[in-house]
Amino acid sequence: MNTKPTNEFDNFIDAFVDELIATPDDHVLDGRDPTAVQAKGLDLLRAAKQSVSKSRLAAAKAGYAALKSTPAPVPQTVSAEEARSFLAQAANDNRFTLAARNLGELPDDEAIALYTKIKSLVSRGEGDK
Amino acid sequence: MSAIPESDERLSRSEVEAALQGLSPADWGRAEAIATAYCGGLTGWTPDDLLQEALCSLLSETRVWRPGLHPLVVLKTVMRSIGSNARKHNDASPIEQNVVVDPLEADQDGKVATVQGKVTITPEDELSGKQQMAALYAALADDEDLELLAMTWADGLRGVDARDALGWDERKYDAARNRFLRRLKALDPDLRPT
Repeated sequence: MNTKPTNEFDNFIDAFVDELIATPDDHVLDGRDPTAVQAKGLDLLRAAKQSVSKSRLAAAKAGYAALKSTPAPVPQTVSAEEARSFLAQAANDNRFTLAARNLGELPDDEAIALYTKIKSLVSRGEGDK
Repeated sequence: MSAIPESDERLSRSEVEAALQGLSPADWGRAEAIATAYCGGLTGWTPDDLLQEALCSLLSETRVWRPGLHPLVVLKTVMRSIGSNARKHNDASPIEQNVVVDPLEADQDGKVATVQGKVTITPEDELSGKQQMAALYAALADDEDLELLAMTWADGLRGVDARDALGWDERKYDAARNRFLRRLKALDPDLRPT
């Protein structure tokens, strides 16, 4: 969204900032110690970074807690035949879109990998409910 | 709405941090001055609070920093947005933040000061930013040149255009601008000489 001045004060600030940028550094500092001015700014920046990091950590903790409360899918061991049988059923399930290919031609490891992926999606979908 | 398509480009968090870390001493001074100007009429905020909140918004990527923009222009835009939200929050709050407390109007025991709401501005005025301009003019009240300068900037004029409109030469204009900056510093409790 483009920010356009919408009132007198916005006009004023926009002009003021342009003027500030054009004002020579020594006039802006007006006798203040440049090192102290910069140090104060960097202190604010450091405090802002700490605050943002804390918020992120809190969000990460909350996410982790939510993840922990979701039951983890139990890894299942299936044979390639069982996987193919499941995939054949899934191909008729409108929740999934499986590539139109002969499931019988799938190598065993691909059939099991696809089975695992679909099971994991189903498990995640149920966890979200 | 602008007909120009908006860019999806934005500085990454590390780029934002690097840009802020690279601000010169004078740019930090400029950022302070912008925060001080915004805090006029903004109850409960100090310029440092506002500046730090703007830095947080940028670092957390809540606010977008488009590539190529001057850091002070970005900070100004973020502070404008924070200030606007804070004012809406104040307006929505059941507590009247701008209430005037008159210590002379105490109750009979003289223990509790009487608080009276004072309506000095209309909602329309608020919308047009007149409240903040009024606070600014009040702070400049004893210097006619500074009031004129602020009025000219509020008209959207700056630089040579503002100077021409005021009928001032370069020297007078620069002197007034510097005086304006000093006056702003006097308004900032953190910069006020002790």
